[in-house]
Amino acid sequence: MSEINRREFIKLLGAGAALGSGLFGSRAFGAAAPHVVVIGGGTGGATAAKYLKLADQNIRVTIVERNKEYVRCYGSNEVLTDHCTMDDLVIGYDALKDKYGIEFVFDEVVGVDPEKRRVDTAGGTRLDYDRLIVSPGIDYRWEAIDGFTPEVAETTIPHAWKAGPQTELLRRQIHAMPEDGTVVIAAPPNPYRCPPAPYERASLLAEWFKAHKPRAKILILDPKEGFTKDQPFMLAWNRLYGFNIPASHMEGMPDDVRQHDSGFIEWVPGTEGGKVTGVDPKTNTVHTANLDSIQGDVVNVIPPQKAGKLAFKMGLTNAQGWCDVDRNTFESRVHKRIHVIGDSCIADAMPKSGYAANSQAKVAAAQIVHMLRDEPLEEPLFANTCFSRANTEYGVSIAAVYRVRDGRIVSTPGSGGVSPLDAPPMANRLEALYQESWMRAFVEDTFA
Amino acid sequence: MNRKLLLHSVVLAGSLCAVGTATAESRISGEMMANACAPCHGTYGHLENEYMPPLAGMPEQDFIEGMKAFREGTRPATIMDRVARAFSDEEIEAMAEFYAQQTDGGDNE
Repeated sequence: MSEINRREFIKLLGAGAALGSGLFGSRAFGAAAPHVVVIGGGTGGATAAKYLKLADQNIRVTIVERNKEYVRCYGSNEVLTDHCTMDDLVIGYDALKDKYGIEFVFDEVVGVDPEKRRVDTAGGTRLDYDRLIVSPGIDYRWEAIDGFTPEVAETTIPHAWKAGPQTELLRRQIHAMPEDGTVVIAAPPNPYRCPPAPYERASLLAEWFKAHKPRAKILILDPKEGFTKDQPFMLAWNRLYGFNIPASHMEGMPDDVRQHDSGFIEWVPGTEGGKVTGVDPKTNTVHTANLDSIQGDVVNVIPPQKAGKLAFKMGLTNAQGWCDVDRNTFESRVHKRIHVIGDSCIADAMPKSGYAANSQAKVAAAQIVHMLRDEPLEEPLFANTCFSRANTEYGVSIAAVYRVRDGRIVSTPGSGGVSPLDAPPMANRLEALYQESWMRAFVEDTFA
Repeated sequence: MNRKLLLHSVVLAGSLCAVGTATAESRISGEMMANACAPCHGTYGHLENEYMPPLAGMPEQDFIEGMKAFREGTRPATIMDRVARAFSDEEIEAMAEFYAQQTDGGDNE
């Protein structure tokens, strides 16, 4: 009872803070600072919290997160082929806590009241907020693939789409499979987290097979007719892994492209039977829309995706399963004072990538600071850059700079795009080095 | 004297014009743009021992000339040509001014 009284008291203090910010004008918030709560300590949430604090130390920022450490998805394909270990993917929250004064509650959110502006956790912590940022990531549409369940993914047919135990399971399966075995990768339909990752995964496996299981094969089943960086990837595969580039992707290819008798990677687009509709874990078989059944020694099905569970629980999603937001502020179109960033939000031309989440987080943080100070909003700008490795020494990239036009996020005309097909070998080497640097610099910008 | 005055007015008109253009087409702050660059070039341009250059403290003119050369394709590039084509002169100048001011070693150091 006294606990509840104490909470009620804290709530009253919170109300005082809101009044104070109005009275004391733009920079000084008065004795009690405004409080921004961030649910989700992933890339979006961590970046938002850090940049709120960089903009104004007087804002109180609390991250509510289930896990005491973050395991990054970016770079997690490298675990499959021993370029790095699971430990290398782990990022601590100490810098955000100690250097920026961000508060952490390691707990599960059990309730959010958008009217009272209050977050409750399973452990009984209650947080009152002036603004709430949620960065819930993704969840899977299990129902889209017959026979596929979380249990199947955890035991037999891993998706390994969030770095964790399934990454380790897939690694073990790949290492244990026969010398002449086949890995089936079922790529998801758009939109999904980290668009180049299925193809980077195939690239890294091909590099590893070349050294360790030279008769192994990778079959990519794809519901799409193309994918991000498809031409640079395919050119690299042709040069490195005996991949035959389909006629649909030959435009602009350089003269050194060759026809090979056999290779490590085969890619089947949707119109040629690439859409996977079901799995049979007993026989490690996938069923396709063309009524084919394809058996693999290792089967990696990446299911279609939707906004993270929390977004659904909070009622923030639309009929398509994603969160509609004001593109200038990322404030939800459903609930006022709640901002949705990262993979869960609808951001038009932007991919669902860590870079995009980081970029959206900074814009949301900047606008929230303006809102708390009763200042006018500013014009946003976003970017995305992604380096993928075709092998350890051969990188490909995509880049774009985004603006808001007529209420939608668009790529700036005349800019951006993928690595040119006529790039000299030096450029591919450099892009592989940039990938290494990006990984460190990005983690630093987000978490440190 | 007259010539000098005339020149002065031209420069003044030019700068007014530039400000007018910037206001009409882009009000994006240097910091907002630099934040979008930070995943590769570091928070506020602070970066150590990486293959990408740090931008904090870069002399304004170096940044402006570098970005314009990337944009026009006169400087060899892997990725920066694609990125630089997104920015107007005024935006490049705003970024240059922001980065030139980041001389304190950075909040993230």
